[in-house]
Amino acid sequence: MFKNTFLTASVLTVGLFALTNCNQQPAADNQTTAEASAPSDADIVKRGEYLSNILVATTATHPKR
Amino acid sequence: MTPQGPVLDMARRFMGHPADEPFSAADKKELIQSQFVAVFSPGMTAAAGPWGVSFAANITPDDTGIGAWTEAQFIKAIREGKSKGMEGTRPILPPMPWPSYKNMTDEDLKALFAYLKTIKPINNTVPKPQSL
Repeated sequence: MFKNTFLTASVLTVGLFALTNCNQQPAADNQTTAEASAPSDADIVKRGEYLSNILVATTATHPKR
Repeated sequence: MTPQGPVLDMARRFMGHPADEPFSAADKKELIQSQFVAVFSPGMTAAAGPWGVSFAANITPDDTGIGAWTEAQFIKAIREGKSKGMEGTRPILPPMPWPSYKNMTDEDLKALFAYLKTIKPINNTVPKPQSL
């Protein structure tokens, strides 16, 4: 009886710990996402330049005359 | 041309196939159709293949490029392979790899469009696609 109670308590403790962490993690993620989801116009343009450098390198080129 | 051979001219890379550089693959028609190969212009901006002859588009913010395009048009062009990003237009021809690019996120496509709108406009009317 004591053993079962101890086991139950242990499982509950671990479960609550996990749940607590689970509940905290999304909150932290949401905060990070919210901050990262509002890049400045300059950041957006910079990302576009970065992407274009990758994409165009594999497509059209203009050898200097 | 340089001692190392041709080098990329980054200032011209978005202007598409130069209007003053004629390109024809008529003499290679049999090879293209029988061997299913593609032939490129020296600048890699024109390609002849079983689909005909296609030319890289001017994607600078000039009126001869994407100056009048909306962001929605740009996204539709890449997502659906529609020329000018408009319904009822011809499909974007090979070798433009839009079937791969269409998997980009909206954020990335918007970023690309935003960047292209900031570069120097280049007046260059790219030839229309041709048959072989």
